[in-house]
Amino acid sequence: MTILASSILIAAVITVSGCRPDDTIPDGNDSTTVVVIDQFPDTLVGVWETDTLSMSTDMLLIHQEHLEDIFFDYDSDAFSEDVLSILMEDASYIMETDGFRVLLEGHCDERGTIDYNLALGENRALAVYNYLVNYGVDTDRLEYVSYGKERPFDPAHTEQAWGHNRRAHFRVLPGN
Amino acid sequence: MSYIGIFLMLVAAASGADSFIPMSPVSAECIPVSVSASGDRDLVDMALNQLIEDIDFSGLLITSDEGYAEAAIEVTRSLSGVELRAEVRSGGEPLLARNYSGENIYSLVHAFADDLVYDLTGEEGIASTWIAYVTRTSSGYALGVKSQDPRSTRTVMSDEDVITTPAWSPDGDRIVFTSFRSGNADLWCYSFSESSAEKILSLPGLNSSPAWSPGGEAIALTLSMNRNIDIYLLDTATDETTRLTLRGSIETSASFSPTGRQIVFTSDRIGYPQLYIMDSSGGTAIRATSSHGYCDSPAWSPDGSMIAYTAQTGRDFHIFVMDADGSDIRQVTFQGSLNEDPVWGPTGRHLAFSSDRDGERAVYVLELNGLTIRKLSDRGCSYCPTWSPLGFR
Repeated sequence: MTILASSILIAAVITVSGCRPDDTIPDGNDSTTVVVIDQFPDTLVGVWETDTLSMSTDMLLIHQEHLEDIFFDYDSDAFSEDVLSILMEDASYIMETDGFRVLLEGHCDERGTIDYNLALGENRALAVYNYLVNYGVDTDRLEYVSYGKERPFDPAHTEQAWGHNRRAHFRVLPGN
Repeated sequence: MSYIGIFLMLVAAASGADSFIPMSPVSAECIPVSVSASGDRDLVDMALNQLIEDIDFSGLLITSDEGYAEAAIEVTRSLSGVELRAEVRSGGEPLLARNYSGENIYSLVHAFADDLVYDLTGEEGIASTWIAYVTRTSSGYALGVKSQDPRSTRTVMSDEDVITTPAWSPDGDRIVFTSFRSGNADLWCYSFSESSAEKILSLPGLNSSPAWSPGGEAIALTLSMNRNIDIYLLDTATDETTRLTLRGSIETSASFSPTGRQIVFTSDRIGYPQLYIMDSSGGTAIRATSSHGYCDSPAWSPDGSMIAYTAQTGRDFHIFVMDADGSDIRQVTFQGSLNEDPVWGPTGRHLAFSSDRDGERAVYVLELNGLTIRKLSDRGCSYCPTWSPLGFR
């Protein structure tokens, strides 16, 4: 009993000190016990602190349907000629219609790296933002965010999916 | 003349992209160790298999029938959990004897494997370390931590919206990451001791791709609040940010040198992403890569000698390692079409990365000495690994 207690004490000292025990024994007559403590508790799902979520309502879906997304070429934030007319229609719809705001989401295809695609998506969203502002849309009605390749519209690994995912998406938000 | 010269350089760069010398395994330098196990019949196979895995993945020891050292373990159940008695002999002479007790047999085996590596080589082992990564499922995104054994991943944070670019702190207690749950790419910090995450930076636009300084006093990260994507330094004590890059191009994906004096990062200032090195207080940057097209996600090795990164080769992306001065480029992945996000293990003998080599994206660990690759993640589409520091089990 006393032997057991003393070995636990040794173990506790080793654990607290955190040092590697120097028990490399030349004669092999003795041994020490190392208590291996799992520092991760079994349940460690964390809590999100200090946060509120803004949700768009069903009423805004009508506006959502009027706004068409803008698609891009690989590794590019430039507008092709095909999308200029779509951009103009989007801009005039936002100008002429009150009661909502728009979050411009920049998206990329899965080729290339996460870090660079977050940056590329930002530039795509910003390109549309700048176009809309230059067209005359009030900056109070616009926000933009880059999702990079983190939230693809089509998770497939095909040319078609990649083309589908390289876009600036108009997400309608409540507000005016 | 100058045009021809540039053209020839471009041709050389383009043709060189697919012909890098693969890194060659040199596992002959490992110390051979023979292993045996006895004890509880439910535990003994698990323990022996894990010990063999740990030794063979150390990059310093290798299991062998004729070992320089013989490691014998005995595993038993106790009232409080499990116990592992380990004895190591060499040429009949005892080298060490040590008992381990705890709740989980894998943790005990890892602890012994790391002690064995240390006692035989004087270098730290990484079997006890953990790796965190992001998983995307149909229901959302999760940040999880995984040990290097069959135990399943434990979720740290989960959300419907995007979680990405996690980075484990040097003190081991925190993981900073980017979350979109507030509608912006904000920087959050999860603490293991608090078991909660709080928003630490929420400037308009990107607050992403964080990298800890070696001492943990600063985080280099990508911000775009000035309508331009640049690298900034966040002082973790004062929350003040300092802009390090001033160009109109994209600057992102910072990684500190182990001295903290330099930062390697990605910039597309010449029209496509390449790696550059600058002082960690900013200033002039020197281009570090010229042999590839697209390069990104640099990671400076713990001893400062090497930089791992992702580069495009033809249609595919692979992991490369080069000396920190840009020389001696070696390709270390060859399968799949998208290998990315390399991060170093804490001893510089391993890399973790994500790859689609088995179909769906997953996280893999690579031991550089023998070029052994193992799948780590046990969930769906997984990527963005970050490795815990040593001494965190």
